[in-house]
Amino acid sequence: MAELHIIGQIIGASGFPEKTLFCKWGIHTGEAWRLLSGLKEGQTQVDSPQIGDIAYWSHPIDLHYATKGLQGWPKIHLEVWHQDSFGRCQLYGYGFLGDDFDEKEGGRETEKQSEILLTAARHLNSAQFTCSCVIQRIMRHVYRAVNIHTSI
Amino acid sequence: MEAPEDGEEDEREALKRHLRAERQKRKKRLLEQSSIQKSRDADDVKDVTSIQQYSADEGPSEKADDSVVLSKSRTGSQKGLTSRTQHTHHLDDFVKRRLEEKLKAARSKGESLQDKEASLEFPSRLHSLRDRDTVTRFDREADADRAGRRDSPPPLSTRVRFREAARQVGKGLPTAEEAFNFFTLNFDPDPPDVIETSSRRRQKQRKTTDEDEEHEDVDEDIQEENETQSEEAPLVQTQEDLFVIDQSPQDFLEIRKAEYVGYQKLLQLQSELLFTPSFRTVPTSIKLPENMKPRYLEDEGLYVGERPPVSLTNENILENRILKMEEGKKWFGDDGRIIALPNPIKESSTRPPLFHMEEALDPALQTVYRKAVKSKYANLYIAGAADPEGDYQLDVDVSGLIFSHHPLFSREHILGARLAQMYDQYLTRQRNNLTGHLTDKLNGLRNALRNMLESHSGLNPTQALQQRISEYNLEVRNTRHLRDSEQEKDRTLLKNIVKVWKEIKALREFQKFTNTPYKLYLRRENVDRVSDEQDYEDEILAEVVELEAETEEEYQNKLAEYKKRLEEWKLCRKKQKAKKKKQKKKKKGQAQDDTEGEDEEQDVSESEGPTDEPPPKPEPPERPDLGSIEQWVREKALRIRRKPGEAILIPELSASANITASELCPRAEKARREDVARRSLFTKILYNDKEVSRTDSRSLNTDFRVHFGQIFNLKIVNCPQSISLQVFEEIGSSCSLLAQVFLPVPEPSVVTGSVPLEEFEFSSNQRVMFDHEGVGSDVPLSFEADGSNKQSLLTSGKVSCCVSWGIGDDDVPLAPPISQQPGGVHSGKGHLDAVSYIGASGLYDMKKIGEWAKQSRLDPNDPKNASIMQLLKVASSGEVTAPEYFRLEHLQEEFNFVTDEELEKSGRFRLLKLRNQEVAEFRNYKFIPALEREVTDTVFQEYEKRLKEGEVIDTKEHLDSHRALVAKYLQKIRESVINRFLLAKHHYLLSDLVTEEEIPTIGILGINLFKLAEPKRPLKPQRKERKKVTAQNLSDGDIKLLVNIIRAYDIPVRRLQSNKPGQSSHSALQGSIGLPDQIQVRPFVEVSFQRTVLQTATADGPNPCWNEELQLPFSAPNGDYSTASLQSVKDEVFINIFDEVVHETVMNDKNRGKSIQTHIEKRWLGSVKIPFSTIYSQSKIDGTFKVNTPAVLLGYSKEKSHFTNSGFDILRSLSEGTFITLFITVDPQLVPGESVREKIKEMKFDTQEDERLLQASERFERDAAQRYPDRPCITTVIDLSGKTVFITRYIRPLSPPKELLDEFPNNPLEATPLVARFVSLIPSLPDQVSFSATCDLWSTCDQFLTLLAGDEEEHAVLLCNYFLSLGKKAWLIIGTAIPEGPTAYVLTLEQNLYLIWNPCSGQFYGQYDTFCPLQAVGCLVNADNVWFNIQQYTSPMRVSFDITKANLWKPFFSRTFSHPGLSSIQPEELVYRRTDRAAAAELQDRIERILKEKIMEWRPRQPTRWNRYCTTTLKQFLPKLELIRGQDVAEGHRHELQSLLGDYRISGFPLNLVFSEIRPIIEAVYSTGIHSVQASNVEFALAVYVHPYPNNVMSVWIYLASLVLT
Repeated sequence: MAELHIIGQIIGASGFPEKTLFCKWGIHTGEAWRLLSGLKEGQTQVDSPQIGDIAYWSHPIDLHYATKGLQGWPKIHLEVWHQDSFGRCQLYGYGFLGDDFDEKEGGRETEKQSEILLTAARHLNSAQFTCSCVIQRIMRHVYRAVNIHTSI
Repeated sequence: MEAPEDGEEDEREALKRHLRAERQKRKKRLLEQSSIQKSRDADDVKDVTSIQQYSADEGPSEKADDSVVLSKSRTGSQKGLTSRTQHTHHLDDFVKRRLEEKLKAARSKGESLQDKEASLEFPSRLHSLRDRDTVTRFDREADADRAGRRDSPPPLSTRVRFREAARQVGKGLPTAEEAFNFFTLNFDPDPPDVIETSSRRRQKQRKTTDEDEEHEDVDEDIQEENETQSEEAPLVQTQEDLFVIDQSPQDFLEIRKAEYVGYQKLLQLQSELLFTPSFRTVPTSIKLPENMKPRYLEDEGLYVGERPPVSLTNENILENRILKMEEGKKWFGDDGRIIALPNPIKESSTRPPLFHMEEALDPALQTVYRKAVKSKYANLYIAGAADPEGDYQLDVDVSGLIFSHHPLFSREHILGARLAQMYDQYLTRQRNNLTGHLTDKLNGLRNALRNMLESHSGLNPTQALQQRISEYNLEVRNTRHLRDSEQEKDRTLLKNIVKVWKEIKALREFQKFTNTPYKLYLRRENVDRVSDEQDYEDEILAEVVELEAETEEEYQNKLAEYKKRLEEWKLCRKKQKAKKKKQKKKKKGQAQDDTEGEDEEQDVSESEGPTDEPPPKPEPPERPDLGSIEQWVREKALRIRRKPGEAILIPELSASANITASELCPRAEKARREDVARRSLFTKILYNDKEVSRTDSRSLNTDFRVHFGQIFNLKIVNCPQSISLQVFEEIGSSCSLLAQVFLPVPEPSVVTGSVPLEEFEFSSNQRVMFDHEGVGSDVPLSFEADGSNKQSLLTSGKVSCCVSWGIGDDDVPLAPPISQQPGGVHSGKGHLDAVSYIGASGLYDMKKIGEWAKQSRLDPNDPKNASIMQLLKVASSGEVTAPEYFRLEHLQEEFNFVTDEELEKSGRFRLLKLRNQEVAEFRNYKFIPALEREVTDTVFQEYEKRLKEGEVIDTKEHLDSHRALVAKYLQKIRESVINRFLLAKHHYLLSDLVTEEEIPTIGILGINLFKLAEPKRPLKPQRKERKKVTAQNLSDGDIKLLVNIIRAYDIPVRRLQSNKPGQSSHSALQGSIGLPDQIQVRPFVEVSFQRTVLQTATADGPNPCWNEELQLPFSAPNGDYSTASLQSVKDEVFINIFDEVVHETVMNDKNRGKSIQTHIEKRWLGSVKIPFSTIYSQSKIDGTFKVNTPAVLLGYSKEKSHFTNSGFDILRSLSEGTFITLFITVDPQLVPGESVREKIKEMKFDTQEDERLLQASERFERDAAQRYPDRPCITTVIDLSGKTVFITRYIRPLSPPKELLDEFPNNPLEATPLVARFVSLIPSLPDQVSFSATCDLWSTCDQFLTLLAGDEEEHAVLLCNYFLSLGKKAWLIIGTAIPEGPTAYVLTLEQNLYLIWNPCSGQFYGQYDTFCPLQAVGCLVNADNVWFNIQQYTSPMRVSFDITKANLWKPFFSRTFSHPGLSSIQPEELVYRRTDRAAAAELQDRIERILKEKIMEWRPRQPTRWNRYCTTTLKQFLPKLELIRGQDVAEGHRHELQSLLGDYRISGFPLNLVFSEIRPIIEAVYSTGIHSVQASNVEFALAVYVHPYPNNVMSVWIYLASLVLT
């Protein structure tokens, strides 16, 4: 039986055409994984930064998984939305943090910060936005793979 | 001058070489042609060759007869030439003639010229000849010759031209033109002096250029050419021929001596090349720049160092040379001399003088010869290390070291280290599990053997089968032996561990302090006794059978052998006997035939020699005792195995024991510890025996572990030969080497990050002794009491470190290639056999591996072979067949390491999940064990029971099936609500996460400054605002409940029993009888909360003042201090008022006289209970509360005020009862859980209300909250199904039960208090508690009556609706009260008088009642509208309830937003169930029985006697009390009782309770403390009466009394 703790936070986003942003996230796993505790999806608050370009969320992620096999390692998906002054929400980008989400140096607690580029999901005026849609997001996660008792 | 000639000579040489090359070429061609030619001119060739040879051989050696040689050669050549001419006679005559003529003319001309020039030319030629000769022979003439020769330069132009011609000749076949030119042109325009010797010279030149043999070659060549060319080139040939004929042999051949350059010439040559400066003194003027006079610095007074001595000649030479150079003058100083530094040679010798040269030299100064030593590693550079890319890096990670023995170890440390070591050993053994695997193997073998025997039981075993069986038997035996030894080892190890642990314990006990943190736990794993015994017996049986078979076999073998030997022996015997006979015979015949006998005897003696000594008779083998085998096996099993049924002991070593502090230790130990603290350690890292680095010095810890944790990156150039660590110990400034540890050089594949730390042991044999507790090193010591069994321990330990190759920036290991590694070998020792068997390449060949595995009989159970077996299994199973189904997660099943069932079974995971789901039982679990086995099944028992019994109604707990149902229903509602709110809890507001401290402003600073001037202890201190603490970082013991009991009013006083009519003569009952002025009551307050009971001091009188603060500790359920958890605390604070009664009994003892015994007795007077949830949400409770006093208090009476003069008393007289002033708070102040309502707003519940209405209500509430934040305002509420409902929908006139109205058929107004009482009898259950702080749910009246539980709102709504149906004007008051906090009351208007009803108690208060618990009025609600209080004050006394005034009450529905005609959600009519008297009677009996049991239970030491008579009497009173609803009937009641029970001192009271469950009743009885009467002759009386009201509402009366016979 192996257990995996995913502890981290979604720090924020930058590089979007607008600054007032929030993020929806979710973690996807294969069939073998069981969520023991924690929320596997959620949504951050809306941050509209007054200073600087980065919308900070500092949204915590804390999950505890048990697994019976190693396939279907957790992946996180993120959607960045923009909320305009009328409260309307618009999807600005989405992305998956795939297999590199898992740690190469298993067992050792590491901290890393990774940026992922989100695919632009804007269909309107695509020409207008092609350049500004190179989106980057900062995602940070700390992993601890504890108690991997592989009883093979 | 001679250079040109030299040049010419050089050119000649070049020419020679050229020609030689040409000749070679031609020679080749010649050889090809020679075969044709040979026959014809064999003679010629012969001649030529002979000459050649001759000249070659003789030429150089016999220079003396030069002339002879010359002549010879000439003749030879002539002959050859003549013969050649013969061949050419057929050439064209015409051409020949023409050429001849021409040539003749030319020759004649040339001859004449030659003659003319002969006089001039001859000396030159002679000279040239002579020149050659002089060098060798005529040395004397050399000078003269040379002088003469200088005068006559050779004719250059001729030569050059000739040379050109010669070169053209050399080029091979000349063309006709060239040939013509060669022979003609050269001679015509030459100046006479050149021509003079032209022909001769030409010849000579040719001779010199073409060497002797060569000459012939050329000739031959030409000749041949002529032959082959036939007519094409007759001219040339003839010409050549002619020419050749004309020349003498000398012209073609010249024999020269080896060239020798004479010494003189050499000198001359050298003088040409070299410059020799003269050694004459150079005049100063040359050395200095022009027109400058030498300047002597010395003369000018400047110091000039002494120049080093140089000889004058050398100086001169140097100067001359320098002057020749460019800028030579700069080397000269002003004085015209060469610039020189002062003489560096010191005046005196600086070396130490070596006196006594040989004999007595100081040995230190003795020169010792040492052979030059070549550095061992100097040459071992790693290839490629020179280039910058090829740098290699070794990472040496020195993690730390652990001493397994250190001189400073105490005895306990030694034992501890031993224990730890053994535990490690145990763990490794456990991990390897050799025993288990051997047992498996043994079983497997036995099974196999059995199967084999069974399958072949009928048949005769073949040879092969027998062979196999015996093999198996052998295997079984071996395995069993191995298994037994392993088991024994395991057992001994376990025993030793326990033994050492016991020793440690004993030592700790003995020395009275603890030094090591080791603690051994023995975990017991119980086994199934029966099956275990079965296994044990089976095992023994199997072993016995096997052993028997073995011994039997052995016996049979022995027997067979014995038989064989016996046969032999017998044979021998026979022989011997025969022999003897023979001998006897022989002896007889010996006399007759001596010689023959002799012969024979010899023969016989020879043959009989060995048999002379008769062989010992073989002993028959003993039959083995099969009976003893079993015994032996059993003994062995007992020794090495666990007894059957005995629990498996699993030792667990932890470091959790407390080490005794140094202060508590004896002096010797203290000294040891100080010594330890003084020491520190560091390690040096030596690479190739050179120190490269060292770690920091770390102090030695008390556990003798040192952590360095340093990584050293060594950039290396040399091949790593040795890496070692030296461990040094530092004491103060001195340090000593403890030990050296050699580390292996890692393989190139060992790269940083991929290797674990390894432990290397070290030890040192230094002898260390101490005078303190430290045991020292290499010092014998004993743990036995008698000092025996001494052992001496050496300092030793383990260094944990690792050496690996570094990794470069681009993830390239910085390791040298493997070929560089000296002694780099395979690490895979396990596969070594396989590798040697099939070779490394074969490792990829499955078949080969399979073969090897088969042949070497790999044990499939051996964990070491697991990977190979796995591989083989995969390989042997053949190709993976394509599955006939599609699976989304490919190979998922194959890679699972646990099954679903196992995952489900895991208690830990289940616990985690349940906690996450916030299931009630596990919601507040903080820590879940990390290990599966620590999760016990008992954790789930309760939860599982609840799940199982979900539908079963527990009547025992509730005493009433209906109520049990209701409880279940409530539970369900709660669950559903909780689930609904679970998500809401995760929605956080900003204030949940961000707490911003206010920045102090100038104003606050100013106030603080003012505060300095305030009096330290003001007369009326104000309570200060305290800092709020968020609940999450609290733990047990942090929170205290502060209860400040200030004062009480109107406490009942003791009734003087002596005044009573019919009182018996006993007068001295109580101390205060005689004096009516004396204090008639001594009350104190007891506060109990969460099992803690505290009490105040005793005060005097009915209006006591305690002013005392009590601190009660608070602990949250399950240690969970989260807001949600605190809100759901159900505990209540009980505040009981007691009267302290002192009895004095006079003991008349005949012997000792009088003694007085004092009994202190407490009597309950009344109580107040405040739920903790109220305190928590209010954060403080401050006010005067009405004390719940029993309707009748036997022995006490309300003291009618004697002092009626004060204004207060007037007010007080309005209300009856006892009051207490309290201040309760929680310290530190907790942030109360924010109003749930806010969250609900966030939630946006389902609703059926109009959107416009909801918006309006939101706006209304928001406005209200903004303007009057402390006034509660409710417009919408949530019903039980979780929908938002507008509040006015709840108000609707509903008729109360008919029975109540029937009581007063005439005056419906009279029924009002009865209706209020009915409502108050419905149990109250605060929402916050029941719904776990989630929200306030409002149930409708029918739901409320069905549930029979609800909080103030439900009560108030019901009461309001009843009042409305009774035709009263009634409103709901939303406000705050004490102690409830935000609550709902009912307001009625009766005859211009506003009455405020407390729906939970049924009490009503006038608007101006001082003791009205309602403190603030927020809004009023009726069926039509909601009015919000916008007056200045909120207190009911100061509020005008005239809702028509818009400036006082802000209506919700106004003209702008009229009432939309909301229909009520209440039912049209309430249906009541009829009262069930039988059920009530049954309940009454059960309560009485339970209470009696409980009281007896609470008095475990004393007997509890029940006074039946009193009980029956009391029982009669209770219905009366119910009838008058607990009004003051004390007087008559008491009289009646008194008359009945004359001789008893009675104290007692009736309790009236709302019936919900049995538990609160018991609690209430317990809190009165009636059971705590200690008097020996006390009797008790208990009466219970349950009065049923419609719809199963019950009023429970309990009459408690204690009677003491006087």
